Amino acid sequence: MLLPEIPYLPGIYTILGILALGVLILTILDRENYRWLISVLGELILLVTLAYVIDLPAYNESYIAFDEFSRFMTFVFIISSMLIIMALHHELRDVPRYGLAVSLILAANIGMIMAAASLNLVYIVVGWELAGVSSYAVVAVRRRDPLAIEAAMKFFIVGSIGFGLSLFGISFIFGAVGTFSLPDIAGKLANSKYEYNLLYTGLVLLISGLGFKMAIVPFHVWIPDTYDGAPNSIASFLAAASKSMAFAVGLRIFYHGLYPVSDIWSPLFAVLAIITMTYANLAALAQTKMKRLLAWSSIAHAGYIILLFGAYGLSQRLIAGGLFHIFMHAVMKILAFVAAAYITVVIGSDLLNDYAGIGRTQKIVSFFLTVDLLAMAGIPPLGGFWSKYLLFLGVVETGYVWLALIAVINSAISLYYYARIIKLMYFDVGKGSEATVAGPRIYLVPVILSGLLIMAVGIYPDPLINYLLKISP
Amino acid sequence: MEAFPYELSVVLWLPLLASPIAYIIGTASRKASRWFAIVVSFIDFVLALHLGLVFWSSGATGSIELQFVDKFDWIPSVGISYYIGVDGFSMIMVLLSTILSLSAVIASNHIHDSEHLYYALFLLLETSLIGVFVSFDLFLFYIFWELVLVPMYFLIAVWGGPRRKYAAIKFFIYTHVGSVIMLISFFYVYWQAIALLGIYTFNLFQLIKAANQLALTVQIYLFIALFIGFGIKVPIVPFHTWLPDAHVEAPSPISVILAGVLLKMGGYGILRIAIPMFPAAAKFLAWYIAIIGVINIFYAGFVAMWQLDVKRLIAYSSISHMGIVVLGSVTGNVLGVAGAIYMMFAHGLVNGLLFLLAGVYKHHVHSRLIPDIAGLTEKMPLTSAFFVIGGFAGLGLPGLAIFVAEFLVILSAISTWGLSIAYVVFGAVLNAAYMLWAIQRIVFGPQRSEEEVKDLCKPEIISFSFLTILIVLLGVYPPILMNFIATPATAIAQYFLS
Amino acid sequence: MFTEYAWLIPFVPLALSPIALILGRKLPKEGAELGILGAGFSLILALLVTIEYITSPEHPASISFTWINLIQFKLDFLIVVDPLSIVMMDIVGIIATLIMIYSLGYMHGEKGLARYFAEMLLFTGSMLTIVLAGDLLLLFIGWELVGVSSYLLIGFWYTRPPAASAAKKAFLTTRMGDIFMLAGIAYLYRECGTLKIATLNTTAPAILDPKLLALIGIFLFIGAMGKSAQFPLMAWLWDAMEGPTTVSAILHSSTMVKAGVYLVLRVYPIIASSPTALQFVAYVGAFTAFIAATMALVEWDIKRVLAYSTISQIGYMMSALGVGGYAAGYLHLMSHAFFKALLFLCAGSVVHMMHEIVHDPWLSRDMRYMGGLYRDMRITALTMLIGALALAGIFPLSGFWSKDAVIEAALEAHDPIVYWLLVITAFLTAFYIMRLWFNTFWGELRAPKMLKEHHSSEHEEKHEHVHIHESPPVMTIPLVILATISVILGIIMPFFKESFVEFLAGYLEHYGIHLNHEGIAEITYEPLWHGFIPESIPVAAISLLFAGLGMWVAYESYVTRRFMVDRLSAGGLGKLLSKVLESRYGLDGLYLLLSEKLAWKCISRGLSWVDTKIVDGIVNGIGRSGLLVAKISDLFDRLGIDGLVNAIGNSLKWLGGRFRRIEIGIIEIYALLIALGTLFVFIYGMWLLGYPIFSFPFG
Repeated sequence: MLLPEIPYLPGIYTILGILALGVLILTILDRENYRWLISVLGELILLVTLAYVIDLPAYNESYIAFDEFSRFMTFVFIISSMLIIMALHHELRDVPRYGLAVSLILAANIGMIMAAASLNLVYIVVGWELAGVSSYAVVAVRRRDPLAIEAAMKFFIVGSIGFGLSLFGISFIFGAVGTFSLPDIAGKLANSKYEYNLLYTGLVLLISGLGFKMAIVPFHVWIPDTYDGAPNSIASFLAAASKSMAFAVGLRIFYHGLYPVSDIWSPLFAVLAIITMTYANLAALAQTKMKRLLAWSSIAHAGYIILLFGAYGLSQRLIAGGLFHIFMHAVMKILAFVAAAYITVVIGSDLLNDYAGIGRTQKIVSFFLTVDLLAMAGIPPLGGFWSKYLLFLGVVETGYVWLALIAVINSAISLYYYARIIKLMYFDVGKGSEATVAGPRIYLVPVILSGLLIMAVGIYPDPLINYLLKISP
Repeated sequence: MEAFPYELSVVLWLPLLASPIAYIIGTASRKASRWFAIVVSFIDFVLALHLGLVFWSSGATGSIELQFVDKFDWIPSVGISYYIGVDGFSMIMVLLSTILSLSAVIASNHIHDSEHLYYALFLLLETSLIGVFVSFDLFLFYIFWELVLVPMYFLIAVWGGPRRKYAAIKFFIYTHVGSVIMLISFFYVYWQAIALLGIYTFNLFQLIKAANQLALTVQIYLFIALFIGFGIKVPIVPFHTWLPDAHVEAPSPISVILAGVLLKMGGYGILRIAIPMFPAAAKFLAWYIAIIGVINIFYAGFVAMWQLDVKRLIAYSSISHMGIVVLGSVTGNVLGVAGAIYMMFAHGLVNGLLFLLAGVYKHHVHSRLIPDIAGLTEKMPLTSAFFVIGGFAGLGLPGLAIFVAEFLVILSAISTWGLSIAYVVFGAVLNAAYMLWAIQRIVFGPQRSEEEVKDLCKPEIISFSFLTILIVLLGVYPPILMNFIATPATAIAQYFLS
Repeated sequence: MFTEYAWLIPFVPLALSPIALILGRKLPKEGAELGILGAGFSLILALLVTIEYITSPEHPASISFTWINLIQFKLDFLIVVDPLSIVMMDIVGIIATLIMIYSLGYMHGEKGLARYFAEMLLFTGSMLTIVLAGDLLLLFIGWELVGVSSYLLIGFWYTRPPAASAAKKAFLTTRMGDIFMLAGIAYLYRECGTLKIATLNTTAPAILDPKLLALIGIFLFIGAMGKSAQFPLMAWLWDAMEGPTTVSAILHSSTMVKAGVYLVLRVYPIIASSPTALQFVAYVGAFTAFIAATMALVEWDIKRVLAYSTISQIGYMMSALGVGGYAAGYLHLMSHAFFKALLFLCAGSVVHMMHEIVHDPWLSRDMRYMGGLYRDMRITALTMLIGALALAGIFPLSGFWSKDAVIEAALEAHDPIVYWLLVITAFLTAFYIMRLWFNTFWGELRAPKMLKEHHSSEHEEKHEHVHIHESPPVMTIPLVILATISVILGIIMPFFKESFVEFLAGYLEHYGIHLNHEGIAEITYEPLWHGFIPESIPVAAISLLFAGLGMWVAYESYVTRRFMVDRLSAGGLGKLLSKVLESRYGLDGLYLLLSEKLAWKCISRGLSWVDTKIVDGIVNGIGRSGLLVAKISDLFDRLGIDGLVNAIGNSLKWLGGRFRRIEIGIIEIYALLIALGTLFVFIYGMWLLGYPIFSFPFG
């Protein structure tokens, strides 16, 4: 450990503590004219946290564990937050309580990290709700905008219903096994000391609850509206960070706790995965608004990712691929949403048909957006491809060849709606062709950063893959 | 003579590296990007030619070993490596790609809107095409295979004819579906290889080793999958309908690449991957595939006879010729395989020439419909002369390239299946019929005097004569090509004997 | 020492051809130099090789060159110098050279002479390739090249639609035969694993079973039928007259149509080893000879008459070969080559003349416009008479001997059908050829009168004062030469026949076929039907009798006009008959039906309909349906959820931003969906696990 230890805040509490401090500071300095200061501070705090995340030694206590898994998830959350705040800085320029927004994001991070790191259902729930609450609030941060409020409310209500459901499910599970700690649950289930019916009910409810956050059909209904209504960067935050949190929680619960009864939940997830990816890809084909399309595509990607649970089995590559795809999906979605924000500013519309010709006027952003879309479609050699590839490979490894087949076909379908956008951007003439004035530069920073990340990972994914293989049990 | 280190890699990547430059300097001056593209593809051609000569002179033609191999681990964790090299078969395909790219880029002088983008995409296309033929890591192969789609799609969709959008998307969907099917069976084999050999590898030869151990039924399924995947590119009836549209709508230089190189990817795949991987299945299905080939020959031949659009006619004629390739590749003796490979090369040159000519008609007479371009022989003697030569080459006239292939394939088909396939020879009459009839309607007949029509211009004459000379040369002196083909063909034919 | 360079004989003309095409325009005589040079070179070299061969015969001298080399398999080019090839190459050389010279005059002032000579060179070269080819691959290559060069030459006046379609017809019809030959070749390769003719001739009869032999023999012969216009692949030859007369001359005398006969001579051991194949050859030949002759009876186009006569004479050769008259066939080929070339060149000079009178390519060939040309075109007339007599088989001209030999062979084979067909044909031949000669040179020039009758008056003043004159020496000299050759050949033939037969016998011995002193191969031939043949009467007498009869009838009907031939064809059966003959037994119609109507209008059109409507339709249908699913699922989503939500949302926005109401609206829907979703998972799980979940209370 190179960095100085912070007294009274050992291990993961260092991170949480720093973030909490950040929340405090930012709420205090929440002034109209400090926007730059706020953003920079936010980034700095996240940077410090990141440093600690990388630096902290892994350890594992009974109820909370800072193992390699939570280290990686934390890393994902923080990277996403950092990228998002850059965009936020410009997008929320008209919002008086900007500091609040940033601090909410940090708070959400606290929650997410907790949720990802806990080995105890109670802690998980707490972290989850903390993250949830702050993200509801952050969606609503633009108080003058009816759409945003509508989105926020939808999100809030749906989120709390989902939360309620999963809470309900967890209590059922507790009823079934009589403990909240995942390792104990595992032990109990392993030597089948449990009430089957209760457990099953609990599982179903838990899955439904998680389903909301993971945005899997049929619990996806709120996603398009919310993403559409929320400011792009916030939407990207939802798509990238809080979704990843859901997956992290899922991984924790199902891989550390409930794996002995995988024969119950993995078929459920399998069918949900199929429904989700197929339905979402088909729906996406017919979208006309960029943000809605991205919403659907993120649902589709959720479909791929929950193959983690659908194809449960002993396969390093499955887990590694899952984590990889969670990460890649976060980055890709951020890029897409921010680029969309930029383009929306430039052409004053979110309709895909207005993207026509943008490729010739706004070269940089359209280039990176193209890369991103291709990555999402899983075109080699880009980051998105490798993650998907590893994931599907894992699925095959655990013996679910047919599942992998469906997934491959799905991603083949998905290419069509992504390619359509590219075609519009470069090879049609329309509103985009006149949009010659440059948009807000600051948007380009996250776009370029994540674009380069995607490409770098694409060209030489080997170290990352090896790392992921190493950390996945 | 010695090859420089990494020369093959240079041949492969040069156009790709040049493509953004072409785009950038193109924004400054349109002409510049054209010349730049010409120079680049010329250099690429020269390098490829040099490799070919080295290949020949070093006596590598006799060995089955890959030459000019560049091999690095790329993503060892999943067994993907950068593994390129050439044997005789790949060598000539690389030569073909570079030759046709050169003549196509020279003949692109009718492209006028956003040339910089056109040439950038064109160079990208060249790299991806070469890549398909040199990569011996199936993953790399797949990447290039897919990469071909992208520039091709845009080249059709942007610079194409009136129905270009439709044609482009059709082309895209067809070939994409094909490659997905192909990819799935690749992965199956890859997975089996992990089980059988205990290693993660995409190395073609390893996978072949693994695939050969599979059970016959599995082999058959996978072979069919691969065959459909490649067959869509070939194309085999009934997956062929993308081709006429794509050909007709694409700008002529691109049709050249389409007919000349793109279709060959299918045949290449069948011979290089499908058959070696699943020889048992190939042997089992040989007869049915032969029938498919024959159907191609006749069906496309008859359809071609009815066409009024020259490009459509030529497109169908290439489907018919590809039928010969399919037939030849499964006859299971060296003559057939060699014939198929020879046909791939020869057909590339011949149809390349014909498509360029169709483009000339389109550009000078503003139509491709036979009635409109008829009776211009006195106005455009050179065009007509080239057209007649191309037509005769197309109908398999001795002394011109395609005859050799046709003869070999028919010889081997009959020596394999005897009378049960002898009727394939009628295909020769059919070819002759539609070709001669086209020639009769276009070149012969009463001459039009009224309107003013230009004949070929310099660059066209150069590239056309270049192709014509090659066609004649290959028709008169096959050893030029056969030396390259013999060894790989023998190797491929061996799979049927085992 | 020359034999090693025999390959130059075909090579030089072939090589000069593209040069002539490219540089011809620049030369003073537009490529004629190159044409004559090429043909002349081949001729001289051929003669040298011949002399060398005869003085020091090595059996057979061959030059080989590997063309296709695939480690285990090799396909070699083989040039052989043997009795067959040397005789033929001399014939081809001589006639080609003469015609090249003749063309100087005949084609003078034509457009595209360079092209013409290039194509002629290609024609000669490819024929020589066939002649010298020692393996079937090379032979086939020459074969196809002959086809294409004839195509180009027939279509030389490309602006004339008839020429174009005639060219196409020629190529396609011959190709129809070629592919059978190709199949035969491939089959031989399948069975014997080589294409070397010498080997095949020995091995094939030995190892193959008779059925297969018959098949292969017939396949090869069908190829020959195509090229030498035997029934039913004959319809192209009379259309081929659309080309320049010189082309017809070379095509009919030595190159194209003789290729077929030559092929049969080449692979004779294979064909001869199967009686079925022999019968096929014999009957096709005889039948062709007969019907072609009948067609000639009513034809007025001078060149077409000669075309029919060619077909009919080739028929003679084929049937001779069929019944075993190997030497006879070859002899007749030789003699026919010269007198047919002569006849055509004469016809050419006549047409040349007539063209100045009627100014019309078609009328200038119509015999009804001719007559009385003898007075001013003595050389042409006399030389043509020699040719005619030779064709009619009058003693002592070359035709007499060879035709006798043919009929002799039929007699030896005891095949009455062939015998009588040939004899009757002899009569018909004599009749139509003399009819041609009388109509052309006898009586008065009918052109002015006919033109007055059939054409508007504007022609007349042009035709009043045309003085008929002999063609220039450059055209007449070849006539004289050819005429002399025919005469000399006729005079020497009885004497050199013996040696010729020995010559061939020596060649055939290799393949175990013995040739008796009459030049008749000892092969097993069964006639289909045993009927009466006048064995006792010498063939010479019979054929002379019939020929004389024919000439006399011709004389009576066209000179003295004592026989009213016109009246014969005026009504009743005669009319019908003449109609049938004029329509050439409806062969053209048949071809039209098969090619245009069936292949094109029906199959091709039908298939392309299928292609565009069905095959493509299905695909597009699938595409559309895919998109439809997308639309539906999206629609469901919009209407089901967003639609409702937004509807409420918008309506309430109108009321003013009281958002709580909206949420209420949304909550209902969402709560519903959540319930449904959860329920779904629940139920699905139950079903999946397949046993009741609640043991109590409603288990």
